[in-house]
Amino acid sequence: MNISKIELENFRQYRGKINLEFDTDSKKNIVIILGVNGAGKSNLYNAITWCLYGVEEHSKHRDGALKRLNESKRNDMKTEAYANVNVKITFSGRSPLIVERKQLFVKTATGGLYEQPDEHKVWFLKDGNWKPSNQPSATVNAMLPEGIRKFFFFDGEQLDDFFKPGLQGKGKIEKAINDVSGVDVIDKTVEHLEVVERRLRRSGSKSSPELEIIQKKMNDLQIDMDERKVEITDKKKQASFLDIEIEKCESIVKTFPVKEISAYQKDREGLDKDLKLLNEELDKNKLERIEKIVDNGPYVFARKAYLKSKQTIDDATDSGQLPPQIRGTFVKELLDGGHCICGMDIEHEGPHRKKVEGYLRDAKWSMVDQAAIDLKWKFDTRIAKVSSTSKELLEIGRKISEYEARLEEKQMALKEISEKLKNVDSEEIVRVEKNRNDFSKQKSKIGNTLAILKSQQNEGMAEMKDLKDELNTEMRKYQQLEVTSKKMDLAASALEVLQTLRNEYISEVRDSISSNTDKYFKELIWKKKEYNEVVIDEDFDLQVFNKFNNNVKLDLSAGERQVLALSFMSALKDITGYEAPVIIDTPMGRISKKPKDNIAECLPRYLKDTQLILLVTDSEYTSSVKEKLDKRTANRYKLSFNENTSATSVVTI
Amino acid sequence: MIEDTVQAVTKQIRDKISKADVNENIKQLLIELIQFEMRNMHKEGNKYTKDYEKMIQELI
Repeated sequence: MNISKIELENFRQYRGKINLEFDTDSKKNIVIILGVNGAGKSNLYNAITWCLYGVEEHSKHRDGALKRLNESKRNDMKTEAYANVNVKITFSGRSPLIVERKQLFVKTATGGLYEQPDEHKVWFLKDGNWKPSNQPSATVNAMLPEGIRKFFFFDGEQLDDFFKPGLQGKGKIEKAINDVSGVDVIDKTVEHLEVVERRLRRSGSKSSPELEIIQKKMNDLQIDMDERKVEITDKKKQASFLDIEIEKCESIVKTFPVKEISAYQKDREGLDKDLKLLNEELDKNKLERIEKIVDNGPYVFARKAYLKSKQTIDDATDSGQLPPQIRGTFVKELLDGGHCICGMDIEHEGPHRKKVEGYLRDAKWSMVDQAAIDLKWKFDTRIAKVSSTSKELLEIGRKISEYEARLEEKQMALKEISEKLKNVDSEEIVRVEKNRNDFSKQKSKIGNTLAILKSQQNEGMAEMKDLKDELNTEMRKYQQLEVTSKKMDLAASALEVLQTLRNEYISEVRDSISSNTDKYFKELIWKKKEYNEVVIDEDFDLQVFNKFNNNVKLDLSAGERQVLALSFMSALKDITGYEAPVIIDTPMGRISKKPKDNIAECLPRYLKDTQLILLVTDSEYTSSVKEKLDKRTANRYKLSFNENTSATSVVTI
Repeated sequence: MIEDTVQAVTKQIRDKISKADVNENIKQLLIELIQFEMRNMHKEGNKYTKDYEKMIQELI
């Protein structure tokens, strides 16, 4: 799907009718729209998003719809005259479309401007004829859903949001991955199935007072859980806000022009990284200890009994009450095979065979013997297991103590840095450090509250499951509720399965985006040896590891961040499967010369089957960038803003 | 075009459902529910409870 034509009329700085036509040659997939700042690139971008979705991303905080009408046109209008703002986009490809959005403005008798609601129209090609769509928004969304259009139409300079510290960045990455995964159909199914399951439960529970009591408990619990969910989201937001404030404070210290002071912050970052790793190791070992205790606990408790039982069997064996450890089946096999383990022939009657038959006879005399031999072997194994587990637990305990001691040491070092910063000869740093500590304390409190809330939520979920089981058991007592109970069972089981599968699917999508982002970043970045890996972890945190395996995401330069953002966007686009054009406003604004050339070479390759419309400034579209893009460039336009007419003109270059 | 993408997503989920170690009725119900949502994805204010209950009823 490519844009073959954009028609503008009186849209912001575009006065009158202006057409931009694009060739749609698959080998030449790039369109260059060149203009200095203020020439009208962003408003062309706005025109596209307004026409398709009714929103102007770049102007939503600046001005309202009134200014959508070209200013000079507005001034020239006589009283009661009207003027149209119109944007029309023609798409070619497998499913051609024409999308138009129009708005009428009338100059009132008092000289004001009256705006009519905008009108959205879409036509699609059927049997060689253009037919109007009854659902224009739905048709546009079918081409490219609004939820994911930001991964196709975006401002290169505003991509930093993805990499902000704390939940803000993580939240955006998670949302982007969910949006492009197309999992919303599954989410809708989950949401609807939950409602239906609750309805079934409510309908069944009206049949008896006992059922009503359980249902009431479930309702109350659900209200608590919903409230807690809101509280958790709220606390996470607060924590995210504090993360950003802490980051700001630390950034001030880090960039402070006194070397001694900025060094403190660098030391602190190193200590923070160490603390994170130590905490991870500590958690891992604590978990391992718990697992070992749970797995081997019963054997440890039974150790004395094992030892006593083993001794009893040994005593019985020594006194001849039990045969040696030869199993009857083994002796029988020897007799059937005709060869003893010593090599004697026992196939035929004779003293040797007789002796072995004696063993069999003795071994046969009690099943208890067989069981005792088996048990003795099992007791030996378990006693050995208890002994090795004890040693392993001691070793884990030793490691835990060591990690705890190192943690304490690092925490002390962090405190010392903070104390030093509180006493430096700079009022600003003293104040910033105080603020940072206040924010950290608040964050720590929020962290504790969150942990409690999450634990309560887990308990609530477990309680809800018990109540559902209780309700089901109770319902089965009533014959008339048998069907409802079965329905509830099926709905609840299906819901559980679907939620699990949905999470598995999202994990796979996340892994794929993570590996493609890593691949693109390594190709695009100019410091090839500096970076080791880009990873999006299970928590949707995007991390960039350098050659020393330190996460340096927050230390990337503006240009490197833009490269990271372009890599991430390309990886997201790969996943969507949509064939819509990609429009980037200021794709290389912050990137210096060499990386620009690299991007100019790589980006069209990543997007080779996609129309790529680049809104660029002169400083981005350098002669070497032009040279690299030329082979694939279908059209070039230049936007020029004329201050006398307050209007932008478009020329082919 | 959106159908192509959604079908690709639901195909992957359907494959996962088919391979899941669960009761056949659960698999069947999930596939039917997802197909229902796909058919109705562009409809606003889509009513679903009766259809859902009917699908569940047929599989118990």
